[in-house]
Amino acid sequence: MTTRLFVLLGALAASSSQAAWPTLAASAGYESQIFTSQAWELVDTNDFLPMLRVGASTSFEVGRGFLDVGLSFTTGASRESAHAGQVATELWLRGVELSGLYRYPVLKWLEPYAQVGVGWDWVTLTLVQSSRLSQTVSNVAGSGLLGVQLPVRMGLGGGRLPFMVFDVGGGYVLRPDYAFTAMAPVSSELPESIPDGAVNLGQLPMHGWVWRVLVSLRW
Amino acid sequence: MRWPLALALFLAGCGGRGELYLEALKPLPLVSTGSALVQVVPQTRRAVVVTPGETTPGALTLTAGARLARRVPGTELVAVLTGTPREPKLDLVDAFTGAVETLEVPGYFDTITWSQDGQFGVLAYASGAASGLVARNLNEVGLFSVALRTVTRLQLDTESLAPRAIVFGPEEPNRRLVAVTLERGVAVFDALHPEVAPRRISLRPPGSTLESSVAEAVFARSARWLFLRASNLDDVIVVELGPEVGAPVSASLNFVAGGQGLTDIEAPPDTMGDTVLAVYAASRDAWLLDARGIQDNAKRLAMTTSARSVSLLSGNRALFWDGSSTSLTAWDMNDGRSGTVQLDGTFSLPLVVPSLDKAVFALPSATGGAALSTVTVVEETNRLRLKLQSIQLAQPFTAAAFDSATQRLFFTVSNTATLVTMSLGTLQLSEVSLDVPATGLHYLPQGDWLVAEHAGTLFGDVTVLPAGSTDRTQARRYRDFAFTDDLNRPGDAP
Repeated sequence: MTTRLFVLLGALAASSSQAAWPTLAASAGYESQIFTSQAWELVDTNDFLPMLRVGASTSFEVGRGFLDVGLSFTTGASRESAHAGQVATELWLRGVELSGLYRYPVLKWLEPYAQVGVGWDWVTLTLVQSSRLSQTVSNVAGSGLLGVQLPVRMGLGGGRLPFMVFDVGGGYVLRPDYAFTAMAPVSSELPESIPDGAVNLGQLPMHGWVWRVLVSLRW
Repeated sequence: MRWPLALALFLAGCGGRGELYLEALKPLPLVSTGSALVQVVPQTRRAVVVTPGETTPGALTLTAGARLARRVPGTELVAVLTGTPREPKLDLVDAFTGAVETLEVPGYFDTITWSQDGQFGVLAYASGAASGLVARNLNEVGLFSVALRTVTRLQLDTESLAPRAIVFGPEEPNRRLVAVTLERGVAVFDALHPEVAPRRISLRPPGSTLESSVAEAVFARSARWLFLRASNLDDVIVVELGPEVGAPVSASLNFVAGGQGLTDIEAPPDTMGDTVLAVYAASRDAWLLDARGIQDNAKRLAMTTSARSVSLLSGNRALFWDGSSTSLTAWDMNDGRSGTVQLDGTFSLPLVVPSLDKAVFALPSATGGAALSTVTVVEETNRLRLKLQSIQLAQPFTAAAFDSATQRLFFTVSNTATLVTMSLGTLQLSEVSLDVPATGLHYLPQGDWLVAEHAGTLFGDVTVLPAGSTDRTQARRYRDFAFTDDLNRPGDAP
């Protein structure tokens, strides 16, 4: 079944190659950001924030390697109980990133790469079992990763066949501390309720190591 | 292809929670100063300051181990007992400036009692309190001078176990007497000269069979006398204090008799000379007793029903009541005029406003339902008339705050979210509706703010609005402020 699918995709890609499209890739996968600050313990038992990453990129040949310029979207969330069960915390991180990835084919099936990216992230923190204090803070982010891509040609024969690319990488994400200084109740019970003050919960460091496993389709 | 997967599994299995956020938050009760509310959260080591007019409460960092917070009267300071049994501390929080001072304390004390003017505080142990120490000398107290920011250890060295109450004497030019009541007697020291040993006055001298203990102590306004009420004793114990400064104050005891069943004592105004006012429940009378024991100078007020408590009104008048009965009696101690009135029901502790010659009684179950009764003493030629005016309440009275400057009483009733302002002079009423019922009220004189405290959460829920305002759009509600700065704790973790 899998072989038939690869052959079909290969045939489609081979026919489309006649149009001389630039190399395109679409990727999806798992990403985990690692936060080791003590403040992170309020929002998650685990230091790892699991995230889904989807993206698209196009390639340009630069020297003996390739430069992939891409746009990606990541989202991840955690929910945890803190203070002996007195309050549950929810954190939701979303972000978009514009990245440049330079890969250098060492072997036909092995392409080490280095990537830098700049993006914008939104983080929503909610204290659930209170008056549902919540705040969304957005900030710039920057990242740098090293990794390898393992392209596998899909299908047999000549022409422009697509590649299934397995990508494993790791690096660091730089973000300013997120200031949750105006946590406010999400909604009040009455439409004309008395206006609420806010709670300054403090600063949440959001920089840390990141690693990812992606699967891409490049054609 | 195996190593990335192995690395991923390894990383996913790492990480774990520290203990910083495992502990349940147990904030101490709210403390109000003149301009702000302060809530101490021992687990986050924060004093959260709610300042009316500001959108977000602020937080001040405290020493670990906070266990008691008390306002220093007349100031913006809140004293917080912190530290450990081995290293006790006192944090002094200024709610206005945001400054926190930490002082060494010579004991892991349980309580703090302030002088009315906020100049001195006495730290003491409570018998039976769990401290974590194997042994404590409960006869030690700490004298805190607010101006000098010093805490001095004082050894009472009495035969009693632990202090029961601390009473400050009036201000004098060169000394400030403090009486510490104990089971078997009282100790008196001078707060301006803490290096001088306290004077120990025993109610049970060697060989005595007296089994009473001190129940109440009251200084005369001249500081010449200390009046004591003791259990199982009908006599007022009068301690004549000497004028010594810089040496232990001399003391001589006298037992002054009046009626039977002594339940309350009070120091009359200066104009009444060296006297003490005593209330006797069993004999249904009140006595103005001569402190020197001259029986011919004593005056007696006979009452139709027994009274157990007394409060002073303006001039030389006093008001007598008993919470379990409906009768009130007023007495002019100078000319002997008196008057009585019957309320519609029994009441809890009244609010007495001497400047208006008025007292307010909350009646939970008066005829026709709950009521708030005000009693005003009116001068008449041959008697005092107690003018009774009642305000009907939809539900029993729950909480109140009082603005002494403008004589306004703020109160709420149970199961309603309405806040009532009553002018005690005119009895004019105004109401404002909050979102939820209030269980406690605080009046902040600086800025003229009123704070309604709501139940239902440990983490803080108050509504702040201009005092007397009927416009709810001027109110602001602060919820869950005990979480303030919760994320910022790691930097100051021990």
